[in-house]
Amino acid sequence: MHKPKEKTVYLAVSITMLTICALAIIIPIMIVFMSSVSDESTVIKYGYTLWPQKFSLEAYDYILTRFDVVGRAYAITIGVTFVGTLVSMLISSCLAYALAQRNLPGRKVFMFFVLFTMLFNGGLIPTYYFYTTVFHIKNTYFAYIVPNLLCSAFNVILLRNYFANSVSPALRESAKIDGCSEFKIFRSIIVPLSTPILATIGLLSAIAYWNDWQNALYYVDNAKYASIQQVLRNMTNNISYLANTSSVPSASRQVPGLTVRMAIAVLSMAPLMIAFPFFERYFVKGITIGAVKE
Amino acid sequence: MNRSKILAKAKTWFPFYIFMLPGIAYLLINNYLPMLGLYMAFTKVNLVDGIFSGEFLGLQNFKFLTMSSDFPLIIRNTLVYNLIFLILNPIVGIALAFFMNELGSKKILKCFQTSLLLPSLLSIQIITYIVYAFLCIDTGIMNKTILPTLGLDPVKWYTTPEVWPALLIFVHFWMRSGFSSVVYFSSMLSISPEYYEVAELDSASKAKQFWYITLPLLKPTIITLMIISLGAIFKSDFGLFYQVPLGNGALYKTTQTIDTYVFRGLTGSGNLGYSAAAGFLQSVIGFVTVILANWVIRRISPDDAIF
Amino acid sequence: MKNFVAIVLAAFMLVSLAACEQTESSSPSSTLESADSVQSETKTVSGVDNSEPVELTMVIQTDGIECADNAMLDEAINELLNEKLNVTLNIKRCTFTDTRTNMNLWLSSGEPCDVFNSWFSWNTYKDYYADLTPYQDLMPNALEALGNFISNGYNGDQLLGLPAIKDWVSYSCYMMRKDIVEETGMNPEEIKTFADFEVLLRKIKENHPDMYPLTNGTAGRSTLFTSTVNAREDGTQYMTDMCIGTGLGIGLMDPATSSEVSCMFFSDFYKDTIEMAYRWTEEGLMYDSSILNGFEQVVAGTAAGYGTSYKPGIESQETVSCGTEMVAVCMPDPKDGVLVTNTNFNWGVNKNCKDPERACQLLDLLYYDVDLNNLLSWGIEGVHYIKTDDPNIIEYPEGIDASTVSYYSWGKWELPNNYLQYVMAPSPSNLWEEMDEFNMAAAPSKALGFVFDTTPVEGEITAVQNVITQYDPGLGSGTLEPSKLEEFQQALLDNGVQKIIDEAQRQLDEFISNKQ
Repeated sequence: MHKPKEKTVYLAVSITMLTICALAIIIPIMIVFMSSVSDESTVIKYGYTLWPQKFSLEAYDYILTRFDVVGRAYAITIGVTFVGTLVSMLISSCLAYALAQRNLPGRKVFMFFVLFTMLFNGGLIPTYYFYTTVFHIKNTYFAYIVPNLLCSAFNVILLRNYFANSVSPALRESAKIDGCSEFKIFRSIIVPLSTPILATIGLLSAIAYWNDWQNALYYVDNAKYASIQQVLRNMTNNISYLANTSSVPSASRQVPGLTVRMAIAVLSMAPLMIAFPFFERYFVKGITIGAVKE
Repeated sequence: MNRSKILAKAKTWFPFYIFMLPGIAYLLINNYLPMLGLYMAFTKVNLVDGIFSGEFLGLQNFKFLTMSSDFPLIIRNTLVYNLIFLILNPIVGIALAFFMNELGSKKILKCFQTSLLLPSLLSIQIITYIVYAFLCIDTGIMNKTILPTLGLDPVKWYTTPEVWPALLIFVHFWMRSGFSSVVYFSSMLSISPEYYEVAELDSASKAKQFWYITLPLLKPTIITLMIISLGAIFKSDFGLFYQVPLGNGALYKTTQTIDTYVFRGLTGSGNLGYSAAAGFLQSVIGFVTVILANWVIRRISPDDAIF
Repeated sequence: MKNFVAIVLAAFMLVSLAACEQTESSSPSSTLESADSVQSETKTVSGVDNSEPVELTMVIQTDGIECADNAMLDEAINELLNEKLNVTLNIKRCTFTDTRTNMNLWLSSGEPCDVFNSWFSWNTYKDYYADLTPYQDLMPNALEALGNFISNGYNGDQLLGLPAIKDWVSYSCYMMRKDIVEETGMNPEEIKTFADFEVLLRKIKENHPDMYPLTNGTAGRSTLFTSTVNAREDGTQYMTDMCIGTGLGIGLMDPATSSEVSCMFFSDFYKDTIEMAYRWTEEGLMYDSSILNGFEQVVAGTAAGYGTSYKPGIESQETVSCGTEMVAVCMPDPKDGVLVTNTNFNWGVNKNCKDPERACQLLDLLYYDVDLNNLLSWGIEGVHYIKTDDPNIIEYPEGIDASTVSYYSWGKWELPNNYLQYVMAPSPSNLWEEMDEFNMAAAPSKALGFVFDTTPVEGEITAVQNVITQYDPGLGSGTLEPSKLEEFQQALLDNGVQKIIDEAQRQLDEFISNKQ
């Protein structure tokens, strides 16, 4: 009797709580957006506001005049994010699937091997040293994709947990009896059953590739082939550097103003908002599979 | 074990080692090989001669951390913030995932999830500007709009260390909770609806269902994420602790952590041996903590230990 | 023959080192006379065989914004270098925010960066430079252009780097909006003490209550130059020499007459200044912004002036940025500027350079060749700039301005010899003469040429630096109560500031006695 009522109460609570959280996030981001379309002087004078006191598209104009740089960087980053995410999902899920086999000989050792990489890292200088002197990835396409981002222990562990706890071993066994190879089982049984976690990992690694500025900065010499985050970072970072390093003269006045920095933030967010529904589809699919099963 | 059994076993497991190969090879190249560079922590680094040929100093580089009279304060801040994050992370993440799971409607879910994830796309500089937009002394939204509306006096945010623990914790969750809620949400999606249907038949309340079904099934995820965070118990998010408070020294009491200390101290000299030593120490402590935690968990519930 | 030249030059070096002691230093700017005539007088260098083509790499800093015409410039530069030195130059452009990280990476993996500058980290980088002493005869023009100032490139008896010829004098000033200063009826040239300055700021506040009369120049940096100035009893200011480290506030408080090392934060002047800063901030005379630059606030109309470091031509430079006429209030009298050790910024040749002789030739060219310098700093004539009737002055071509030009160099000021660069209108034609006069008029610091070896006290420096960032910005900007000063000083002592001072004094005394 009380069931539907309880359900409504929970729905109402959930919507309220999520709305509060979403507002807490959207309002500040609205402020970023609004100040990017505001007049610079009024922003400095009156502070940031939820609605522009004086509307101006100057900031976007500034960026558009550099469209050749920004446009190229966008293209590079989109390509890198796409390829990198795919390869990274493949490598991580294969590794995780093997680690999810409870009886795999040496499983604990390999698990530890993976986990250990989260605790210790050699730091930037040795990493760079080996990548450039042994593997010669400098100024190649690998430079954008390979260092640090291809396989994160965090993702592997998440995937392993999912495979181990949510995919029934019985499925594998029965497929095995039907004569399927392990690779086929993985491809046609495990992967389709794991869409929610694969979508999650895909999303996390897409965000990591999208936000990366270090690989392009360190491993690609020609600033012409900068990634979008590197371009944006260069446009916003100079100020905080000047503030911290008293010896550099502030002679440079090329540092763009506040509103430009905000416009840059908006532009760096926009593509993911467009790409998000793509991942979202798989989350939703995960729900459907669950519901149909009964 | 006889020969044929071994062969059979090898045949069974061989494909799985092939599965592992690319990942393991990558980690060897990307993570293990550069670890040789940890040797820098024990030397006087001279880059032109090569990273492995610096003069060996033993533990001398490690001493610099303890030289500050504020050493205890720095350690306290680092640890306490991490402990707070450690406890609150799963609570916030699971709560958000739970709410999302209750929604039912995919369109609404999509809206909420997109907005929760937006902060993870913002660079730390932009987050710094957003915080500043709220806290700036004379034009900030807090002092100009919110506090006067509530009838409160303006606060000098950037010189009042007492308000920063709360602010930093808030900003941390503002930036990261979308991310962790997605992880918990995907784990929740994997829970078979049958469990809940059975519970419904027994007319168990939602709270009971959450407590007796959802939470136990999320336990492996929670434990894994916690162990991973324990590995970073001695590290801190430099952007959050340095850039968000605008590097303001007046807030030192509540914002100084090991990473900010190293940064502030080494901007002049850039001593690579010192920074390597600090990083090494942070890793060793994280490592010991993880081993201990894993050992404890193996004692209590062996299935959940992660190695 | 070559050895003979080297000995003669070494003798010359010794003489010039001794000459440093005297107040009158010889001008480093014989190149100034007329930029064009210099080339014809250029000393020819014999003894190096240029018939083999060589590839060299040079690192320069940029603000990270890629110029469309970089490739075009590289071609033009290489055309010039091929002809003169048979050298192909590979220019690595490096974002200045990431210079140190990138340099560390390149150096650690032995990537070529044959000619590079120390980017304000002389102490760290000096070990990576080749000793140029044996190659001095390959750089006659550079040595002549530098004159006595070459002593700043020495570490012990090794010549490791060549100082960049630019503004060498440590000197600060306050840029104020001219119209607003005129309203008050005060003459900016007569303001010589903080007391006078306070009167001006108060008058401005009266006329414009919605404006801060004074703010910071660079976002996040202090408005007042508490740690680089000192004052006499009458309140007039003069510059100090923070030769141990600007960030540490340790150095010579009276660099022209005394070699005593002490810490700024214990001086009376510091105490007076922070009390004043607190008063000014409380009364709304001053405001320090962490995310806005001074000129941005002037443009927005929220501030009337800001503190910045002084060099000749600064008024026209700041007028351009602010969009309104600016005037400088020079608080230490220009004659009280101090010629300090600018060893933080030297050009040198990497230890692992395969052909140091040719690299030295390239350095020499960078110190005297007008065409090369203007290619690097302004681009190609007719494309990125055009000449005017005044041979020193250039302009942007029609329809192009500073923000639309397809090549610009952020790091003009760091190129080896600034005096060779044309001057962009509206800067004065005699900019470099003024700069040279300014450099030469200053009294040399007792510590000129001294480089502090931080190794014995690095741990203490880390701790002390942290203490300073905790208190100094707050005290200096007037946001922290002056009563905290005692706590600050105690913390400095607790963290070993005295040990740093003692070590610095020991090294400096040794340096001075060696010089004599």
